[in-house]
Amino acid sequence: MVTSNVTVENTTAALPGLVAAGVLLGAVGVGVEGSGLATPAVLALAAIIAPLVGAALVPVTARAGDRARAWFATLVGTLTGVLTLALVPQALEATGSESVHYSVSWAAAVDVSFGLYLDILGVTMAAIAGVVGALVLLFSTRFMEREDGLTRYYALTLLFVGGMIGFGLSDSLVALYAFWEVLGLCSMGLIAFWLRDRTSTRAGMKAFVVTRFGDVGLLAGIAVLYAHTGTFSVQETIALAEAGGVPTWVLAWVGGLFVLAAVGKSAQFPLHVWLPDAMEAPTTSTALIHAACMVNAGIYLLARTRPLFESVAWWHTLVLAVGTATAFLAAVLATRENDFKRALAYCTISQLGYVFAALGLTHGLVPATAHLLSHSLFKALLFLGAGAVIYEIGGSVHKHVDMFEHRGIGSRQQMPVTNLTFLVGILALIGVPGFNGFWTKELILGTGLHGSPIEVAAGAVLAVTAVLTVVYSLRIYVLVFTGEPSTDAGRVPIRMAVPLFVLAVLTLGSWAAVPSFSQALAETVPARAVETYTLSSFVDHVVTTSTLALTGTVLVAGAVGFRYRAAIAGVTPTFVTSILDRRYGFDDLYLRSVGAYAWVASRSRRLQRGHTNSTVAAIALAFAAGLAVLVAL
Amino acid sequence: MLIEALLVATLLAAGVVFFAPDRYAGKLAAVLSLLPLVGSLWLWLDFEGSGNALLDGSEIAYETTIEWMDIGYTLQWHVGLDGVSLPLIVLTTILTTAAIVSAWTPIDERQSQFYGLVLLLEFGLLGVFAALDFFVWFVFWEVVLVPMYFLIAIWGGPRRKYAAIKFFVYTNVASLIMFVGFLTLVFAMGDSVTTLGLPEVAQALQAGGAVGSIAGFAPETVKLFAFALMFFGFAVKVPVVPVHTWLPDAHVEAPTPVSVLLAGVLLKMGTYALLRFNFTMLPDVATDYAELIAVIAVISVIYGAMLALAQQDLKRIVAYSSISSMGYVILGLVAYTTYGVGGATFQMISHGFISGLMFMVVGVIYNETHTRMVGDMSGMADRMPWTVGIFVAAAFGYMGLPLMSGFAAEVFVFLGSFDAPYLSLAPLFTAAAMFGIVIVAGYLLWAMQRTLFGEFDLGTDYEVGRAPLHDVAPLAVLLACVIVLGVNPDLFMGMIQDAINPIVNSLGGGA
Repeated sequence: MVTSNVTVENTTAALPGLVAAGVLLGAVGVGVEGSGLATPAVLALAAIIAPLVGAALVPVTARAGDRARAWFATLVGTLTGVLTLALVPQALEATGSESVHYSVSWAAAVDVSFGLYLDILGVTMAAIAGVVGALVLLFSTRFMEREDGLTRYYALTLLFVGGMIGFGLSDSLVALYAFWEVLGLCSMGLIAFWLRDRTSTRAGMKAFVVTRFGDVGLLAGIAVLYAHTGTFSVQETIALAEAGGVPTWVLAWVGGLFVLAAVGKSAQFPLHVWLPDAMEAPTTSTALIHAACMVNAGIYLLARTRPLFESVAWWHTLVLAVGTATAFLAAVLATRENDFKRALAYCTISQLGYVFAALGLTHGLVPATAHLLSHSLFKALLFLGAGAVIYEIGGSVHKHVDMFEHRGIGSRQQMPVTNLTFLVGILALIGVPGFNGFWTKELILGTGLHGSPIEVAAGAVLAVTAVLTVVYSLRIYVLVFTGEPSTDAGRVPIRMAVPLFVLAVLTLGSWAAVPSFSQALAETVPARAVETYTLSSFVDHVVTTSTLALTGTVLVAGAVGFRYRAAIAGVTPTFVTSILDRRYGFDDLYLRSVGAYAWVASRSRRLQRGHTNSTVAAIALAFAAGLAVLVAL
Repeated sequence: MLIEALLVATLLAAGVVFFAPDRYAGKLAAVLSLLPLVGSLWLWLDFEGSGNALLDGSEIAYETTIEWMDIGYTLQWHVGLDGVSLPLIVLTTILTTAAIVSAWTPIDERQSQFYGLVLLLEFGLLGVFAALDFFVWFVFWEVVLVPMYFLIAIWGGPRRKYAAIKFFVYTNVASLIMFVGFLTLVFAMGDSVTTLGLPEVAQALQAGGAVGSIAGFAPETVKLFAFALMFFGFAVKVPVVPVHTWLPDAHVEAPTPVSVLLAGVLLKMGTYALLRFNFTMLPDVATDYAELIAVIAVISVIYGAMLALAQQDLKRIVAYSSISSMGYVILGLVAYTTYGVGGATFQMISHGFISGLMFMVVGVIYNETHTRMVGDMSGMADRMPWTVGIFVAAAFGYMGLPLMSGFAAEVFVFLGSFDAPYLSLAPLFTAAAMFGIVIVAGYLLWAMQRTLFGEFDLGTDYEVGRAPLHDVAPLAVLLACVIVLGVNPDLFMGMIQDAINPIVNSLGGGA
């Protein structure tokens, strides 16, 4: 293949740029550090503003050529990633009282102000977005090279990353809502990247409209809260609720509305329908949506506001039920999906179901957020791996990959780097000991199985789902990455290999951060049930005979299920398969309700036609009658 | 005397342009319309008023009072501005200049008369927002109708006669009903008022006990009667469902620049008058019937959005969505909270810019394609990248995305209406209205997806090129206004809040 030649050439050409960028970054870093300006608030503001300004500057750099544009975006992305990482050490030390650092007022007349809250929870979200964003941008410089419209692509990507960082670091509910909308906007824009392609624009629209239901939930929740607290600060609201200053029925309403918001944003049943279609996006954008920016926002919203709902009896059960159902139902669909990216999408929905369910557990905050971190890393890895395969099939535009048609394209002989790194992601996903997914998934299962009866039931369902996870993961890996290649492919270019490698390393090691994460979390989240660990107690807690037995059983059961999947499919009753073929019928139902709505609308249009005089007469008569009634009363 | 100077300059400009040769009329009108534009910006920068012009304890800016004659009531020339009317004045002058420039391409006959009438319309609009005496106010109110009628009837589309007459009949009948309502109220007040000045009437009403019985009806009944008549009269103008049917016809037939002013400013006359008359003068009636008004508001929001969803004509889509947006204003007004009434007023300004922008951008596309039907075109993004880019941005403004003025307006209205003190089931009404923001995303995105994106295709035989600069420039200016107000709502929000707080406080309502 000639690809490797091209790779080398491009890389050498890019090297001076990279070196210059590194020197520049270093100089800026030293300068800021030396001047003593690098307070957390400054870093945080810089992390939010850098990608936003960068997004605005992308069209300018495009004048200097395609390469300048791509590298500029990558540079800004890297800078952003570094800035978010720089926030982590401080956030690990932070205690609740000193975390509010900065606030600026907007619409002073009506008291809306934006503040930052830099605790480990938000900083982790920001850091995930920053780091994955930087890697995705680097990956894009090669992956997207054959596309038009890249100014739009890079600007939206930077805006997307900046939006998520802002969402993670803001303390004001109004700011949260604003960034939340930015995320929706960017994901729509990226999903509909190929504007001339009807399926693309339709998918973008679907994502926006479906998640808009969640937006209503968030906005309504904020309005209800504000009506009773008079503050937009999340932290002040939590403090007020802890002190009993907010009526429980208010919290119950807000709890329900925020769950609606998160269900939309994080693609939980029954609003999950937009995420499988979101694979219409360029695969790099899919990675961002699934791993860093979009879907994490819903989970984070609930994790952040969870202390508010301690007193709402049904809230935890609702979240647990939604998450568990989503995890199971989506995993079933994943086992039957033949499209590479759609299969991974159902996998995302299912894994987010785990996180959602964990948020509903009494002691679930640490397991949930820890698994979200794991998932972000290995899912970014998996999607970028998929991107590497798609690149070899013929470029970014080949987003529909039938796994049977392209059997073995990523085999070890053809694409060793992609193959191995993807395998790391798969092993993390199915929870093989040592990989980050193992630690955090076991944490969720263990917490569930040691809880109240309903939590045990949910834990059992999640354990069964883990078996399904093994089945579909093996299916994906075996189909695409093993066997005799049916399609030729070259090795992955270096700029795409680097992000894969970095993510694989992180996937192997990120679990080690969980103990200090849990300790910092306990400091700043005033929840009664944050379990803290030291490294050794974490290892002791997870690696026990029972969890190892559970893991072993799940893996063996999954492997057996995968081996005999044809036989299982054979004995599945037809009505079950027909339901699964229709994907539980959610899409049909929604399309039909839109149809019904349009029908009512067009019918009611008939009221609009007719003769002016008769309309005026009728209105005047009705008005006179109404007036007579009013006066008579 | 600044307001008088503004009005006279506008009227003179109208006269000059009316008799200018057609060839220069457009450019001359644009230049002359800069006079009121600069003047209004000057008024805004120099604004030192405080409080609500109609209520006690206010400092009315640029006020002039001249007694004219006594016919039992003293008729007087009384104008002045407060934080509610000044932003509307600024909106009017900006939109008029933008509309005039946007008319250069589509208006190709009787130009001098067209631009003269547009400036006359501006004159009427400025007068409506500045007047503080009922008599003066009513004259300006009627002055607005005349140029509008001719603008639709002469330069309109194929069914322009029908649309113009429908517009005139509806709004004129409504004016009459409102007139009867207000006079009933004033007559019932007997000797408590000696002028038709709006502040006098409002303050006498606030003092309480001013309304006597008339023709044997109790004061409460008289107030209700007056409220209902005025509400009906203004509701036609807004418009709210079910008296909205003149609006789509007028919009579809009107030439684009006229649609811009119709949606951008004329509809705000209705909501402005509702705020000034019904909600400031008779707050007790408004709060007694808060639920009924909220029902009307919510129906307007949802039903208007549904109708927009069913349209194939881009202009009709925007027209119906205006009905939906005006529903938010009514909901905000009836909330009687700082956020609610302030948000409603802000929404008037914000929607003025955004809907004007939407109509204008549809007009620019029409100039090139000679169709507005969704099914007739696709892939416009290929041929008109800048225009389409602004279309997309304007649509996002309409959907209330952050950093656009629509975001601030919607958030304020919803926050305010959620804890409306005099509206039972306020959260329910608000939640119902919120679903408007899902539908608006639905129909705008759907229309955009079909017309702007996809492969280029056009059902009419026209060569589509890029729009000329003077078509795109006003779009850019309006978009800039939308964004500036979205980033910094305080530009208007401070003075708006200062002017509406006395209304809210007069009821003892909190923030």
